[in-house]
Amino acid sequence: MGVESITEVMEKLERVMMKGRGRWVADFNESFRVYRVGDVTFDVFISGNTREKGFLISRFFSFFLNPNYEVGFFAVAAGQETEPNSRRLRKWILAVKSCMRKSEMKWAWLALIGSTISESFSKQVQEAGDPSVGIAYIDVDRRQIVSSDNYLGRQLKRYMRIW
Amino acid sequence: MVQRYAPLQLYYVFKSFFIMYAIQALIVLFMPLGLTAPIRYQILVLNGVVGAVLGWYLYKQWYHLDFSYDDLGFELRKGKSPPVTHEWKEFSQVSLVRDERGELVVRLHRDEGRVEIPASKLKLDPFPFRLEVMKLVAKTGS
Repeated sequence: MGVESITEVMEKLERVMMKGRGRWVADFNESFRVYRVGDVTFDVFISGNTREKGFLISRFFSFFLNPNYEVGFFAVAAGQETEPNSRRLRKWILAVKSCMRKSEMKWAWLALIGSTISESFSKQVQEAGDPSVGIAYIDVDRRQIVSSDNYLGRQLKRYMRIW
Repeated sequence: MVQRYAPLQLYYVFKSFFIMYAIQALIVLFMPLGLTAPIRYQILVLNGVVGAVLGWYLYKQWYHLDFSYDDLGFELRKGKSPPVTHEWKEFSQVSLVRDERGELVVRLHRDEGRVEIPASKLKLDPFPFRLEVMKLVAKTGS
């Protein structure tokens, strides 16, 4: 298997979130490309809800068991031009939070897709402390995912299987 | 160059056939048994043939999609209803939406509301088609 480019993984990730296992995280149903929030541009933004629509039984269980939260999934290519660092990570999180406030979202996920991740940045991702934003870094070269150590981050890592 | 997509939607062809067949079956059900019993196989065949002809007509009238687009705009016609025509420059944003049946549509946003192109029903790959629409909107937009 050859190494996939960041763009290819981004496309695959969007498909996974819209049609694949991403639906276990939330019912993501509307996807935007090149989505601008202030001066930050996300490559992918997918909005959704935690309540699965489904058919009879899944709809019934979802109605009684799942909270009715608006949620969002953001993905950004952390390539050479937007090389990830702590300042940039903070900027991305602030943009996500700003969009959450505007759209009344309760939870959000932020996926950063890039090449080989540094030890220090991996630690920053893991320690990202906001409980309402789950963060994951997808290392395209090593085919590994580093996620924030909160519930949303772990959930994202569990279901976001792109390889 | 104008690109045109008008695929046959087998689900809706079958649905139209079934509607027409069910109507005929109901009519036969309410007829006296003495009248229908001796010719039940002939009735079955006739119902099938009439169902196919009327079903095809119903499909063409209500469900068949005809979509064409070029660099300036697009035209979408459903059945025999008047076509919906728009120019790409009317829209400011493009998104991809999954409906309750799992089908994907390309949604075009503008100030006065939104317009949807049923990409899955048109047998287009929704993901690359959405990117193409984005390019057309960006190219023609202000």
